[in-house]
Order: sequence, then C-alpha cells, then structure tokens
Amino acid sequence: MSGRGGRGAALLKALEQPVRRPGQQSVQSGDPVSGPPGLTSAPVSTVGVPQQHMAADVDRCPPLATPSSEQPQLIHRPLVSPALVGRGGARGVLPVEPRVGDEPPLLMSHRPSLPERAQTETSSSVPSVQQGPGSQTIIRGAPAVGRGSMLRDPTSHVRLPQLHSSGGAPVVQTATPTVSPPPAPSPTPPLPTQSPPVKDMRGLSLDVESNMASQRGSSGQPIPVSANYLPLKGNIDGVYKYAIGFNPPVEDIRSRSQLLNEHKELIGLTRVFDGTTLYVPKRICEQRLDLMSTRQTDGASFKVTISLVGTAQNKDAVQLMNVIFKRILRSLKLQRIGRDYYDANSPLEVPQHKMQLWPGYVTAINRYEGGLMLVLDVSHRVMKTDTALDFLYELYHSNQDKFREEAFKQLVGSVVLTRYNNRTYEIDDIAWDKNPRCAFQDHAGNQITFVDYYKRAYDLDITDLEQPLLIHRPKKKQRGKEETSKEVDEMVCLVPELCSMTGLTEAARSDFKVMKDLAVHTRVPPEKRAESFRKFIQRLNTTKEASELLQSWGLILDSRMLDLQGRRLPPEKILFKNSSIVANMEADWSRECLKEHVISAVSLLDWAVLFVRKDQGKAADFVNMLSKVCPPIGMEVQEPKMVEVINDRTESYLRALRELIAPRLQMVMIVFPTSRDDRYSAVKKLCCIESPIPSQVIIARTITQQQKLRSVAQKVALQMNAKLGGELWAVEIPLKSCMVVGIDVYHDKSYGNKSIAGFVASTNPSFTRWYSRTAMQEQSQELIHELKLCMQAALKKYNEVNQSLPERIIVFRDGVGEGREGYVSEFEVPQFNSCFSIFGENYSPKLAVVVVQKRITTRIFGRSGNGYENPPPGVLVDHTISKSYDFYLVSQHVRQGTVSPTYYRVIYDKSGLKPDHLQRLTYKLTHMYYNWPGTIRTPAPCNYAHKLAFLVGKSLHRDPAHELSDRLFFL
Amino acid sequence: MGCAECKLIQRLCKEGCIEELVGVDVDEGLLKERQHLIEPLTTDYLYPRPNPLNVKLMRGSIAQPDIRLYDFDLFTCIEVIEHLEGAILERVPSAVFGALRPQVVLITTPNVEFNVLFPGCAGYRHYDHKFEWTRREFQEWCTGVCVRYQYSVEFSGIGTPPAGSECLGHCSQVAKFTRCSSTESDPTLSRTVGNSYTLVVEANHPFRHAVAPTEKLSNEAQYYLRVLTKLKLKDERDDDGSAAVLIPLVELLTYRKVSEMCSSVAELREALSHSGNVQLDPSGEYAVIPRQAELSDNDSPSDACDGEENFWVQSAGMDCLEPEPDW
Repeated sequence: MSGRGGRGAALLKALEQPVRRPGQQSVQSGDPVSGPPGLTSAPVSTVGVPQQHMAADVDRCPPLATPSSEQPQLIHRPLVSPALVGRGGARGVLPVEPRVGDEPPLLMSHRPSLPERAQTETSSSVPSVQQGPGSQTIIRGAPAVGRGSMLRDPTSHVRLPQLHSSGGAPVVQTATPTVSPPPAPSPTPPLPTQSPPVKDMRGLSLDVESNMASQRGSSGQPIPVSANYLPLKGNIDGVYKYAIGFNPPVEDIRSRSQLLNEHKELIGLTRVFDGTTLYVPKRICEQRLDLMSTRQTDGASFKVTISLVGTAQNKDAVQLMNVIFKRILRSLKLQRIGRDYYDANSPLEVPQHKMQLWPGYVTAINRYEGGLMLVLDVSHRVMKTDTALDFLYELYHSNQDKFREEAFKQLVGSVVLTRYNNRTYEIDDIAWDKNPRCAFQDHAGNQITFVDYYKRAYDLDITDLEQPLLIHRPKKKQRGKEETSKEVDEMVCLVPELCSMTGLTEAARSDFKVMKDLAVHTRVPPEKRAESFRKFIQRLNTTKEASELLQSWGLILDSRMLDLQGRRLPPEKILFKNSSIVANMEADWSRECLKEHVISAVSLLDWAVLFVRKDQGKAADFVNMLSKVCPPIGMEVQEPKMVEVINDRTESYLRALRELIAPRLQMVMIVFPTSRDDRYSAVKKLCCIESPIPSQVIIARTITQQQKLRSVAQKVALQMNAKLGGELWAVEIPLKSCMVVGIDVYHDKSYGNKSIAGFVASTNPSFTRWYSRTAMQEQSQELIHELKLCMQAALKKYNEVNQSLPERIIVFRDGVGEGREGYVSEFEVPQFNSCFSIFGENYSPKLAVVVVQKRITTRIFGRSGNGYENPPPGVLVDHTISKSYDFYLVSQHVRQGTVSPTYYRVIYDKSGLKPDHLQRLTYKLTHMYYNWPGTIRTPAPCNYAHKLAFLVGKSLHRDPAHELSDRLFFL
Repeated sequence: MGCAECKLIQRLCKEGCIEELVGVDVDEGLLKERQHLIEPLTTDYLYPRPNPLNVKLMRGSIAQPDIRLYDFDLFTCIEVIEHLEGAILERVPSAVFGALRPQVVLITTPNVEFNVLFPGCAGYRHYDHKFEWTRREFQEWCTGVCVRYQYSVEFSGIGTPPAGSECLGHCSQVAKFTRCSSTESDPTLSRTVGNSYTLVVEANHPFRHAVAPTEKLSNEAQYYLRVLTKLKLKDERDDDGSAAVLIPLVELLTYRKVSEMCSSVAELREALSHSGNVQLDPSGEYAVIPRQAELSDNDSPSDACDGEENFWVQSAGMDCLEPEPDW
C-alpha cells in the first residue's frame, strides 16, 4: 500500500455521461446494450451477504479469496487494464483508480476501501437493515445497461446497486464503483441481508495504524536527509461522515446529487458526496435528519435522509484527502492522464522525434508512521504528436516484409489516446481484416460504418479508408463465479488515424538517440526537483480556488519537504581472491576489479569464436586482446577455434554452431555484423535450449574502435567468467546456512501474453553461486504452483551442493504490482512454507519474504548546506515515512538525475533476523550483481531473476536447458 | 442563455470558428458542478484549435442584461423560455433584443400542438414548464419582438412529425431572429446596463501557433530523414567506414506526411536548406547524415544486441520516464 493514492474514488460524484464508444461489438447477441446513459448495468454487490455465503464462494476460487476469511469482501478488478496512460476520459470525475502494477490486474484487491466503505454504509446508513431472518434483499437494477456501458470506463461511473428491502424497511444504498463487482447472478436469488457491524470493518483494512510500530534497524551513521513528503495537517476530526438515503430510492447519481443540492444552505458547498456517503467539515444534524427534495427532471418528491455516521476515521480520511487533493490538482488546470496530472500548457517540445514531454506531478496522500502526508514527485509524460496511422506508415516503410508482425509487436500493449473523446485505450490486437468502411452496430441497433459514425458523431473525416483497425478488449470480469460470468467477447475498434500514440514505443525506448534527447529534459537533478516541488506548492498557494479548497476543509499543507534522519549503512568490504577493498563513496569498484584476481576463474581452454569474413580482423584483434587482459584478473585463456561463418544469414550461424558444439567445448563467442533481434534470438535458443552452452554475443561495431578495445575486452572477460560459473567478487556474509532467493517477472504482451518469472537462488554461503529456474505463466494463470516447484528444485540443488538444507531462506520478491503485496503474503508464502515438508517432516527453515519495489514515487534527498543532493549509496530510512516493517534503501549511485530509493516491504518474517541484519543483508546483496562492478538498485538475485526472465521472455520463449541452471548464463 | 448542463457549450467548444463563448444560467451550483465541461481536454492540447477560444460560465438571468454580452454574434435560447414565469419572460425582449442586441438570436420552445402525439401526455411536457405555446402563439410573440426591436425572424422546427400528422408541425419550434441594423454602438448603454452577471468559471483553450509551412515541412522531413537513416544503418551489410550516410531526398516523398505537404524534391530542398539543420550534398539530391550522429558510442544501450557488452553503462539515473533502464 505504498504511495499512490486515488483510492478515494468511491467517494465521488460521477457527473458525466459516458461518451459512447464506437465500434464496440458484442459477440453475444441480444445483449441488452441500450437504455439511458447514466444508469449503470448490473450493479452487483455482495454487500451484506452473510459471511458463510461469501466464504463458500471464496473457497471455490482460491485466487479470489479474501484476505481475511472472517470478513465478507467485495472482490473487484478493473475492467479496463490500467496501462501507462490510463483511462483518461472521465473528466470531472475522480474515479476509482485501480492500481497499475507489474502484474496483471488485481485478482483480489487489498484496497479495502471499497468493500469496507460499502459495508460501512450498509450498516450505518440504515440501522434498520438488521432484519429478521427470512427477510429478503433483492439486488435490483441489473439489466438497465446504459449505452455502451458494457465497455464503459470503470473510472467514470460509480455504480449504484441498491439493496431493496422488501419489508418496507428503508433502503440500503451502496456505492460500488464499476471496477468492483464480479459478475453475480442477476437477477440474483434473494439473499438474506445482514449488515456486519461497523467495527468489524477495521479488520478488513490494511490499516497502517494497527501495526504502525515499525521495526527499525540501528547500524550505520546518522545522516540528515529529506523526503518528498509534505505533512498534511488539519482537523480531520472536524469532518463528519453522513449516510444519505433516498425514499423512494433514486438510482441515478446525478439525481441524487441534485436532490441533495437542494439543501445546499444547510450542507454548504464544501462537501464530498458519492451518492451515498457525504463528507462535510461541519455537523449538520445530531443523529438523523429527514428533508424533502424535488427532482428537477420530473418534479417528483423524495425524502432525503441524512444520518450521521461519525467523524471521518483513518481510512475515510485518507480517501477523502485524496479526493479533495485531486480536486485541487484539477483546479490548478492540470490535465489528468492515467492517474497523474500533467501541465499541458508548457510542454517541452522534442520535434525531432515528434514528441512532446508534458511536465507533471504524481501525488498521493497516505497515512504513514509520521502521520498523514502528501507524496509529491515530478514526472514527465511522453506524448506523440503523430497518430497511430502515421506510425503504421512508418513501420510499413521500414519493414514491408514483416510489416504486420512488426506492427503487432510495436503497437500491442501500447496506449493510444482517441482525440474525439479524450479517452485512452490499451491496444490488444490489430484487425487487418477490418477498415473504416466496415460497419458496426450502433446503440440503436443500426449498422453504420466507422467513416459515417465519426462524421456524424464528431464531424471527423477519415481520409485513409484502407487502414486496419486497432482492437481494445476491455478486461473481462473474469475468474471466479464462473457460473455467472458469461464469456462476452467484447472489443472496441479504433481507427488509427484518430488515435494518438502516448508513451514510448518499444522502438523508441531502445533508440539511443530518442532516450538521450528525452533525458535532457527528464533527468532532473535533486536541486531542480526540489525547486519543482517549491513551485508546485507556490502554485497551489497562489491559485485561489486551490487554496480555498484546502482552507474550506481546514487543511494545511506543509510547504517544505519533510526533513528526517536517515542512516548510512557502513561501506562494504569487497573481497577479491587475494585482497579486499572497502567500497568508495560511490560504491564503485570498476577499477579494482580489472586488476584484482577474481575469486574463482574458469579457465577458457576449449572455446570458439564465430564471425563473418569482414569481421575476421576485428575478431582476431579482440581475441588477442582478451588473452592480454585475462591473466591480470586470474583467468587463463587458450586460443579459441576461429570459425568463419559463410555469410551473415541466421541459418549460417546456426549451422556453424551445430557443427561446432561438442561436449568438450566450454563456450562460444559469436560476432554479429549488425544487431538483429531475430538472429540473436535464434542463436540464443540454440545455445540455451537445443545445445546448452554458455554463449557470448558481440556486435562487430563494439570491437571496432582500437582505443576502446582493451576496456571492452576486460568487461567481456569478466562477464564470460561469470557465465562460465566463475565468481568475480564477494562481500562478507556473516550468515550461515542461508539461501537467498530472487524472483522477478517479465510480462510479454506481444508474445502470447505470457508472464515469465525468473527464480534465482543462492547455492553457497557467500552468495556467489546461483541456481536459476524460470516459471511460465499463461495469461490469467497464477505463478504460485510454478514458484513452488522452483523452490523445491532450488532446495534440492542447495542440498546437493552443501550436503544440507538451508536453515534460513530469504526471498526477495520483485515484480509485484502495486497493492498486490497482499497476494504474495496470502498465497505465495503459504505455498513456500508447504513445500518444505517434502524434505522431511522436521524441515522447516526460517523464512522471510521481502517484496521489492522499484517504481515508487518516494525520493530521498541528501542535504548539503541549503540545497539538496543525491544521498550516497547505503542510505536507509525506516521510520516516519514507513508504514510497518518496511524500509527505503538507496543502494545505487547515480551520476545524473535524482536517485530513486528502492522500497522493501517485509511481508512475512519468521527468519529470526533482526531488522538491522535484514537491512544489512539487503544492502550487501546489492553489491553482488556481476554485470556491474558497483551497487545496483535491487538485491543481485532480483536482478539476475530479471535478466533471466527477460532473456526467456524476449528471446527464448521456452525454459532454458537445466544443464545451464547452475551458472549465470543469462547475463 | 440558460445553458444548464452545459451540453451545448461543450459541443460548441469543438467548433474552430468560435472565439468567445459564454454560458449563462441562474443555477450557479449547476454551473459549478459542470464547470469541467468547458475546460480543454488532453487532446485539445495535442490537436490545438486554429483560433483562440475563451469560454465563460456566468450566473445571471436572461431577464437582466449584462454589458459584457453586448453585440455578440449569436445568442441561443434552447428550450428555455417555457420555464420562465410570466413576469420574467416579459423582461426578456428588452434585455436581449433591446439592450444586448446580438446579431442573431435562436429561440426554441415546445410546440404544444405536437403533444397529442405523446401517449399519455396530459398538460405540459415537463413539470417545470410554465407554458407551452402553439405555433401561432409563438410566432405572434416573436413578431412582436421584431417590430419593437428591429429584428427579422424566420421560423422552422425540429423533430419532424410522423406521416399523417404534418399538420401538427414540428416537435419543437425554432425562431431565428436577425438584427436589421448593422453594427451599432450605443454609448449610453454602459450606463444603463451594468455587470449583473457573476463569473463562475473561465477557460482558455490552447490554439495552434502559426508555424510557417516550410518549417512544418522541414520538421517532417527531418523526422523521416532520421527514420530512413536508421533503416539504412540497420540494413547495411558492409560498414564501409564512411563518415556519412546519403539519403536521397526523393525517398522522403514516399511518406504520406511529407507528400501531403509538398510534391517535389525542390520544395524539400528549399525547406531543409532553410532550416540549416541538415546538410545537403552539392547536387541537392541527397541529405548527408553524419554517421556518428546516429551511431552511439560503445557505451550506449542501443548499441548492444542485448546489453551484453554495455554492462557498465551507468544509466541507473534515468528517472521519470516509464522505461526501466538496465543498470
């Protein structure tokens, strides 16, 4: 639950009608896609369902299980995958913002806000729902599907399911955003209603306060630092929460707002109302107040019941603050893209790449050990100034033979912004068999072509009638509740000409020049970043509307970054074979490692170099250089077999390799004339799967320049040694019989939508030897089972090497989506624990699982005089901005830009290690990545796992041969 | 006038020809609630409109003029007058036609004759309607206004009646008033008409800054020159060691974006030489792209097939952008 907020969305008024999305097609015929907009479809809520009932459901679909078996829980997942740019459209609505994570959308939310909220309201708004047994609750309003609502942006609407009691009791209204409901039977069989008491809600929440006592370390040197957190002070207790009921019931949220608004003199304009719950910074009534209102549309009369729930409590407060803050950001005239806000008025132009960079802010309010704080960071959004059609043309020109393949690869997974309705869509497919002249069924059931539709609805002329269409498939409300989830194959067809590309494409990302030109703007040094914060706060204070908003809620935002005391962990001693050094201030030993003998070197006696004729000279020079640079690092190199490949075709390389690879051969080095993914992939497949052998690929250009040859050779020599199973350096590890594990996940959108987990485990006490496995996961499958097998294999290997099993296992789990830590602790941890028993009844190692998060908004600044600078490597903060057992560690040194700390959250700890020791161990492990003679951002096993998963996901697409699993062949 | 939910305003924001747009309604709460509708969208920044646009929402009554709305090109009053109490309606002509004197006024109101076609419609169509007029009643009212304030009027309708019911007229009746006199200025007006409206919210929309066609062409050309250069370098079988890559300008014309803007190499040459960023060979047929500019040095991420050789690239500092750099 770190950082990003926006979870307060359920608190909001949904004001806007959905813009109908064209081209949505429902394969399921007869789907009732019609009806007034604004009324939402199938509001299914399991609110108030007795616990056993829910529990039974949960059992049936384990991945959906609730975090707390004692609590009923709403399960919700985003309909639309939040991508880099998310659901832009819902202007004027502060929506529920599903968290973006590394993982596919949540199965089970640990954002307890919604269920909790819904339930709280159920119970609180109408105490009389406590009906006797036998009374029935009908979930209403199912098929009133609004136009296009099947595909509606989950952010733009709050669904209003109503539990309508039959016994004439007041109506219970619950608000559940569209993201939520798993498809439930509708019409639902009547469910007995029973509201759980309010206090029970607490158990559901990951309330930070309950376990706020943080586990702190102590070693290292105190160092003053600052963090991009702005304490938020205010009288939260002065904010009251009311449940609002309407009789007769009103479904439409706008009508609800209007009916309530009739009493604005009483309530005031300072308020947050989401249709059922009202927050106002004043006391309106003692307990309950009945008011009469007239609906403007038809003059009908309604009784509006305001019941006091109490003051806004912890979780409410966080949500509420986020909602209010989003309003503030909007009042600053920032454009919301995804969940962040950007300043479109001062874009940085990068015309040479047809890009604009929009400066913006990432904000979230959360409760930390140090209280309620706003996390503020600057960010930039890349906006392409050309359309997806331009991009397709460009691709076509570049690669006519493989155009479709290439287009698929580049476009799928990217996010486009449609200019006519200002929405964002993630592209899932390209429909080559469709074009704008194709017809689709509009909401009235008429067939209309895309050309005509856009002309009629938006007065837009489509000029290219042959362009294929882009397909977006809204995420299905899938899994669990299979019996009710009809497989509705929905898709949204988009016309490339009307779509802007947002974010960076894969091609742009790998384009050195693009990245360099962007970095000029985006690599913001600490002082400049701090200056941006100051400007933001100034802007906030000088914008009348914004400061009024703050004031009206009685909030005071600190105008200075939070100053706090960090610790700098002691520099580590880097051990080579015959000597050791203490890492310098930059934690960099690139110079030393070229002179010192590596800990263990694998002599390169039987190896081969492949090259095409034109690179013959370069290859020879390079081999010659290798023979010079290897002895100083303690590595023996014999003359390789020099093999000339007849031409640069992939097959020629493969043929040559197949002829060459023999049991005695230790390694192959392949010199490629140019860099080509397909050739690389084919060669790696051969060397990693078909005929397993460590391989080293080099692009000819790299070894062209004589003056750089030595340094290239030195680095390649070290890397080759690591690939062969050698050990380059070590740090002191005081732990005995401990295995550390790194897990990271690579998601490949374009290749069958698989996720690949890399699993890397240490096999020796000094953490210099590693055993690796991969786990593949088809779309919408879970990794749990595969990870368990990986763990078993790693333990077997450990036992084989050490003749004993590790007494302690520390798992560093990377690749966990934001807000999904709960999933890891709920499912993966028990699986790990359960797999130990196969090694004997008595074997139960001390396990700790640490979730590693790199993409966080937290920044830690060092202080120098009056200014800010990057803190040195080893700076750690584990209080004030922490939440429970967690810490922020800056392990790497950066030369440009602002350093990003890594967030470690210890979600399970039976290791018996003191926090201090776990922190030290973490830092030590950041020294152990053999591709970099310095500290890195994550513990080495995580980065190894990342590298492995990347190789498999990007090039191999299959498990590498197990013969290689005991060395770092994937570097 | 009477913009209510601001739907029309929102729609009109998309019209490139409009430069100033004001929505007036008596319900300030409603305007506040809907204020976001007048703000520019993300796409409006990516595709800026040709002209500036200022949009305001103001709280005020149609029966009371505000000097800031004097001499507008168009007033619309869509399904508004039937909601007005008699006393207020009486003051509308003098406020709108007498004081503010827009060039064109569009007024629509229900045609009560049409109501028989609504099954079960007794009385008025909406509970808040104070009256619904027949075509004759409406036309009489309009003609009266014209005579008094020197406007001419044309009548039409919206919502064609079904076959057989043509005699009932349209569902809603429309009157388009046109001011008879041309621009006029009344110096006394500012004294008699004050600022009776309060500004609720205001938004300025981004608009296209004029870019000279040659500059635009030059930008496009340079972009695609890079694309072509990258292609060429990738395809190259032989790294012949030459210092520069030659790109025939004529190849640029194969790109739609370029060919839309120009049709000849001569134009391209002109635009590119104007920019000064691109070197052309003496014949003027080729762009000369220095190889070094495109090739990164050995320590750059794009260089390596998989980052194998560049493992000492320090790029951990790349922040802000989504790409997650390798170490």
